[in-house]
Formats: sequence, C-alpha cells, structure tokens
Amino acid sequence: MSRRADKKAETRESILSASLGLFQQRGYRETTMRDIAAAADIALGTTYNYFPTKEHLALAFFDRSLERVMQRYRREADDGMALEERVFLLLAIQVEEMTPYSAFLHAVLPQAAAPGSRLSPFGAEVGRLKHRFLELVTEIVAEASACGELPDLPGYRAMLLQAFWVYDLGILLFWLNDDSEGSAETYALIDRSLRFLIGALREGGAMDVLSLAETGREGREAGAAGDDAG
Amino acid sequence: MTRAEEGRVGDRDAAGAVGPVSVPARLARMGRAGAVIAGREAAGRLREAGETPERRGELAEARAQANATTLLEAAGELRGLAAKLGQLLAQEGQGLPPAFARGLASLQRSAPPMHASLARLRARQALGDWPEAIFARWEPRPFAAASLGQVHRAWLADGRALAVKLQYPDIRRAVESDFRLLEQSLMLLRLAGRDADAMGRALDHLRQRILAETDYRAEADQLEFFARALADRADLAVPGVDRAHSGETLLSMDFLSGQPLDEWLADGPSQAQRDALGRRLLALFFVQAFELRRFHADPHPGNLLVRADGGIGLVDFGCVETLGRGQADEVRELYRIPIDDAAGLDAQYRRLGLYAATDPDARAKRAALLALQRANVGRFHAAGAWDFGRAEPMRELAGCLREVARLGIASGPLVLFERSQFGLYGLLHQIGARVDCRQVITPFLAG
Repeated sequence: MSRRADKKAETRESILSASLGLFQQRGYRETTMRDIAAAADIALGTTYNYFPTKEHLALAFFDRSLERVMQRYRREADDGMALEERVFLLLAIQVEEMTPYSAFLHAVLPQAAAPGSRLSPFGAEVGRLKHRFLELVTEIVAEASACGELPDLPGYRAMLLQAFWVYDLGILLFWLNDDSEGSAETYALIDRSLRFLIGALREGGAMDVLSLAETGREGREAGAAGDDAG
Repeated sequence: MTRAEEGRVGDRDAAGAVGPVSVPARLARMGRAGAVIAGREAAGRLREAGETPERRGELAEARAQANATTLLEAAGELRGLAAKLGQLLAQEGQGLPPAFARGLASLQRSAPPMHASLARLRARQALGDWPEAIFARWEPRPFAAASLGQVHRAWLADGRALAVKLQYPDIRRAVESDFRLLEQSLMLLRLAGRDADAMGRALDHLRQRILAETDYRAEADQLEFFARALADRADLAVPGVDRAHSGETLLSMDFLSGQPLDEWLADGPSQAQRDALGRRLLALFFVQAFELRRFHADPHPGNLLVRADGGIGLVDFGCVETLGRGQADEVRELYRIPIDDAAGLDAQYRRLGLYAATDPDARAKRAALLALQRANVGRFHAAGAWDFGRAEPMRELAGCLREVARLGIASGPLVLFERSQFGLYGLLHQIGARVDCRQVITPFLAG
C-alpha cells in the first residue's frame, strides 16, 4: 500500500473509531457529524468526504465487524468440528464481537428497521455485507454436504441461506434484549436452536415441511444412507 | 392471590403458562404434545368403556406412561433435566405414578454433551479467561456427563490433575420452564383421577432440589465438609476443591482415578467383590446419616467410583440432605426397637412427628409405617446375608413408600432418610450384593 493510501486508511479509521465512541456514549441520534469531526480532530469537510452520512459510518462499522468475525472464525474453527459446532462458533464469535457495541446497536436498530433505510438488513447496502457473510455460511454448508454430514441441498440452498440470515438477525435481536449473566440465555438459545434446525435438515424432515417432495425425499434417503455409514 | 392471577404471574412463554382456562385450551397451548395427549386420553376413555376396573387401571397406567414420554420429548428445553428427573424419580418415585417415573427414568441417558466451543465459552464465562489460558492443559472433550452439565479433565501448571464440572448455560430458567410443563402434565393426570396433591408436592420437592444443585459453590462446600469428615477413612476418597478455579457454574476438583460403577459392573466382578462393595456402601450410608448427619441424597451409579483397591470414590455432592442431631438419633432408634414391638414403634413414630394421636388417619398411617418398617428395617434384624439382588423386596419396599406418601407423609427427617436409603438399595440391587445387614448396623447402635 502506498503512503498516501496508508494515510487515507488511517484517517478513515480515526473518524470511524471517534464516531463509535460517541455513538456509545451519547447515542446514535444525538451525535452529529460535527461532533465526530471534532472528536477525531479532522476537518468537517474532510470527514464528509469519507463518510457522507452517519449511516455510512454505521455501515463501515458493520463491515469492519463482519471482517473480524470472519477472520476469527477461520482461525478458531478446526476440522474436527461438527456442523452444529461450526455454526455455533460463528454465531458466538459474532455475539462476542458485538458485545462492546451493544449500546450503539440499540440506538441504530430503530433506524435499520425503518423501511427504505440504508441500514435495512434487506436493503442493497447491507446486502453486500450479507452476501459476504452468506458466502462463508455457504462454504460451511457445502463442506458439511461434501463429507456426508448433511444431505445435498442444491435445490433450496438459496432459500436456506435467506432463512439463515433472518435467523441470525433474530438471534442478534434476542441477544440485545438478553439481560442474563454473560448472555447465557443467548448461547443456550443458539445451541438449542441449532441442534434442532440442523437435526431437522439432517433427517430431511424440514424438507417435507417445505413440501419439496421429490428432491426432498432423495435428500433424505441420501442422508439416511449417510447415517447408516456413520 | 386468586387462581386467575396466579396463572398470569411468571407467564413468560406459552408452553409454560398456567392460566384460568379450560383443559382443552391448556392442551392446545402445549402444541403438538398437548394434541397427542388429548387424543390419547379421549381414545383411551372410549376403549375403557365396558372393561373391568382392573383392566381400566392398566390402560390408564399405560396411557400415563405414554403421556409422560410425549411431554418430555416435547419439553426438550433443557437437555439433562429429563436425565436429572429420571435419576431422582428412580429413587423417590413416591407420590408420582410409577408409570410416569418409569417414563422419566427411560430418558435418563439421553442428554447430549456440549461441544468444545460451547464448553470453552462456558469456562471463560465462569473463570474470566479461556480454559487453555487458565490451565496448563485442558481437554476440550468431556470425560463424563453430569446431569446439569459435563466434566472435563484439566491440569494445573504444578501438575495437579483436575476434574472440571461445567454447567450448561441458562439452567435455572430452563428448569423452571420445564417444571411448568410437568405441572401441566400433572393436571392431565388429575383428569385420570390421580392424587394430584401428593404429585404436586413431590414435583415441587424435585424442583427445589434441582435448583439447589445449580449452584456449584454449595457443592464445593459439601465436598470440603465430606473430605474433612471422612479424611481418616482409608477406603473412601473425596476429591479436594480447587477454590481458585471454581464458581457458581464451574467446579474444579481433584481428579479421582477409579471406575464408574456401571463400568465396574460390566467387567463382571466376582460375588465376593460385589458383597464387599455393598457392605462398604451400606456402612458408608450409616456413617453419613447417623454420625455426620449429612448424607448424599442422590446415590446413583454416576457419582460413585470403584477404586483399584476396592475402595469408594465419592464425586458428586450436588444433592445433600441434612438431619438435626435429635432427628438422626430418633431415626436411629427405629433400628433399636424390636421389629415386632408395635407399641414401641408407634411411640417412636409420634416422637418423629409422623402423626398425632388426634390425626383421623393415625391408624392407617401407623399401619403403613409398620409395613414399611418390616419391609425395610426387617433385614437389619434378620441373621445372615440379605440378597439385595432380589427384585421382589425392592417392589414391596417401593409399594410401602408409596403408600406412606399417599397418606400425606411426604416430608421430614424419616422421609429424607428413607428416600436416600431406597436409592442406595437400588444401587445395591444393581450390584447384586449380599450383605449381612445386622452386622453392618450393629456398631452404629452401640451406646
């Protein structure tokens, strides 16, 4: 990276961390771009060049968090883990990485829920992050299919991924409202729900529910054969 | 508080809600499990029409068992609770219908373990850092299941080998929630004309006990008490606690070598070895109850180790009951009074507060307690070895305990003592031990 690019990345990072600090302390709505520029000790105009709106800052935060979650997952996952454990690990890392920013997330959530918001989890901007995240999930599921842990699911992979995204958002919402010590309720929910959901996928029962009769049955038979082998 | 208000308090989830609504509505709220049970009850009552009373009883019993299983499978909120209940009910099914207890007991070993990622997360939550950072070595996979969690091996930097018991997350809420579901099943059984109050009390007692077991700090206290009290017994080992690495949801103790009881049994020990172990266990029970006045109320195969020298390792003190000095002495007196001295026993039962002279049920209670005395204490008056492997005396004793509970004698020192003792007999039955009970009790009755 050139010195110029280095400098740019540095400026961007200092604006981002100054904004997160303020969002945490004062609240997302209460913080202005002017406050952020002052806290980062950077000219307001320059700050706007990097982040035209507060929503861009929030997006940058999500981008950075996603990157950290994915990096940590790749470091911590090992070959011996079953599918339930892999997905648990991914979601647990996500909860851990978000924990220092829960106040910010509380503040940003109502914004994200508003229709047409740039922060909408179903909008185009967040969609790019979602795509990267789901690529990792696809990889995890494909590995599980390849080693016979799951029946092959080509026909409804897209639907499953969409469902996983909604599930993940639900887990985050639950966690934000979880006041148990060390988020114990959230971890218990993740563990129990994954056991149930992946168990259903493995046995093919979920396919029946979705009335994907033909392919579903093949998938189940393949799954059952896999069980016999194991 | 009215029933209606009671129903709304703590109404956290639909499955657990007990509201002022009709039985079909309650069943509907329980979702699929409720529907299955409602269907089974309706079909069952049709089938019963025209049958003899005995046959009707059998059919109802079979339905109750199927209902219990359906409910617990649907409950699933807490893996391990079914296991815990199974263990407890196997020992103290009194008050709950036998079929219900059997249904629970059959689920005993169904608890799946926490995977390594969840286990290390739990360790970090309890200890403040990842287990690999805290211990010199940490085994990511458990070596034993504990009913509310599991046990991992770990080593400290100085080489001390530990057994680290980890609790599954969020156990207390899950226990409460599953018990609400079980209470609902009680209501169903009430439809079948069972004694709901006795069952309610039994269930509440179990709930309290399981909740008490979720605080591992209390267990650490018990471990230290027993380790001190039994320190001079060469044939007994109790692990020491590593307080620096223990808390409410994690307990680090010395790793004890030895075989879990069921493994030891699977290796086919000789009759002499079985008898020796049985004798030790029975004597240990009286040491605890009469001398320490604190006893292991949960004697099941999972918390006993047989050591290489035939000694006993005690590893689980989650469930301990305490007797007062006077109480222990009054219970001990029951072993001194001749078995056919009905008047002497009657006086002793009253001293134990089991019934008053004015109690309208006094006669029935006295008769039930005398039958219990013959079924249990009789073996301590008989000469020669008592064969715990025989099933019939176990059934008879279970029947006596049930009758006593049915008459409303469901708490107090004698009941605690008898329940734990019955649990121990279950172990001795599994071991197939033959023990000269009179010889074992004699030293405890001196003085």
